[in-house]
Amino acid sequence: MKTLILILLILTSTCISAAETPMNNNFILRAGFSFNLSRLETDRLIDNHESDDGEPEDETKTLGFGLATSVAYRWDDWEFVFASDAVFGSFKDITFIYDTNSIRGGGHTRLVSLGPQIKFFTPYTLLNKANIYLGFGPAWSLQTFVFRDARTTGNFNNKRRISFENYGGGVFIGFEEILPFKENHPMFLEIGYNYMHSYKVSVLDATDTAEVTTLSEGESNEFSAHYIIFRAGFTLF
Amino acid sequence: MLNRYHNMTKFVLSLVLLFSLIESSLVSAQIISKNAIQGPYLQDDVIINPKDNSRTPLYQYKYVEREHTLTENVKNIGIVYGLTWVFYPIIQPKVFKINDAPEKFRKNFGKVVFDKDEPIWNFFVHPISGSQLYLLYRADGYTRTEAMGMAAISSTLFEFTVEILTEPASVQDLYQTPILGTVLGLGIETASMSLLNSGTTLGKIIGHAINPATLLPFYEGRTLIIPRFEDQDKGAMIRMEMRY
Repeated sequence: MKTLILILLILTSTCISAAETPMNNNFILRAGFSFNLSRLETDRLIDNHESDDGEPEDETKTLGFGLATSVAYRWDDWEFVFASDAVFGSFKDITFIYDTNSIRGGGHTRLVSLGPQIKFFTPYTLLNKANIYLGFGPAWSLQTFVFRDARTTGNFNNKRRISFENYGGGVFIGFEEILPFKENHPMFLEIGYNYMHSYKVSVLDATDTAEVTTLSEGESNEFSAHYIIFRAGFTLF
Repeated sequence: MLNRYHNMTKFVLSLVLLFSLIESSLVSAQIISKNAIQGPYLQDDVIINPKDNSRTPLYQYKYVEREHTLTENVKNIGIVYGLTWVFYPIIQPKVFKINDAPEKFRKNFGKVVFDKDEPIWNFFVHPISGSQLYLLYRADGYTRTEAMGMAAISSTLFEFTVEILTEPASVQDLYQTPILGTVLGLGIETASMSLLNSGTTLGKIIGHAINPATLLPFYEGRTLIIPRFEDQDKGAMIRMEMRY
């Protein structure tokens, strides 16, 4: 039995040592959580009533939580990254204009953003345990507003959604554990800022969840958002 | 006659007593022999070690990685791509209309948009299909990074040439199917390997159910361990099986 355990141990350790892959000159898949503190701004507004959330009528603050994933190729100090955040949050009171009618209310919002980034690992460390890095890159996003209690002067119900397609970009700073191999699963923590501006708006009907239909869509530059993003996660492989 | 009956009763009672004695001695012998088993023994497909109550299944599941030729890669991509043409219309009967398909194909060809689908599609259905693609390539001996790459190629081909029969290629699907799919697939890979190696029938059933690619003929990671318990040749023989 001892021999059997010994053989199994040797085999297992062989698998582990054979699987050790350096971080440099390799593809890296990271995943973690993303917390978003965002300020959403809309331009076309009715300005003669007070907002429920105590904010100016043309803006609302939301807190979102979701998943952050990225796939990267790393050289020694540089990384080319393709990253995405999928964040869900809620909003208390915001007003949009749709076909000369106003839609006002609270509900939840979902944000999907993705884009390429360049990341630079500085020679500076945090207690010799984590490498400090900086990054930037453009981003594209889809922000969808789902109303829970839409008050409208026109034909809009809670099965309808307003979606903004946005572009923008952001910068971030973070640190990642200094560990030699991907299999050590180095952790990272970063904080970033993103600014997004809408280029397209769509009104959707989600009565049939299997096939969401677009009721109308058009160009838009009336929505913008500032995001403070905290991401924490680790290298999967 | 009465005496004969009395003798017969005595005989039957003696037999019953004899059988009960034999049975009790057998039971105690069994208890003694079970207590006497100090080393590991085989029960069905599991090696049980009474010392530490460990259960080691004879069949160990893991992933065997190997290099693939370009021809193999193209062949594998081709097979998966062919299957998507067969299965997509079947699993999407609500949105796939044979009469509209050619017109939609022409209209959607080369377009990339943000899809407005509900989260159940983008964060559940697509990552699940991506995870199964990843696990399919893993079962065929691709490394994790290679499996993610192959899943990305397969899902991109699907997005740009198959799904356009109903809707344009979507930015979210292009990213989320292979990437979220790989993240999910990695979780399934780890969970299924633990379940398959748990030595329990339920573990094996659930393990195969969440990772069905481990049942496919090309899965190379099912290893048979043949233990030898005799003193003179203690050890184990390990055989790699190429077929399930």
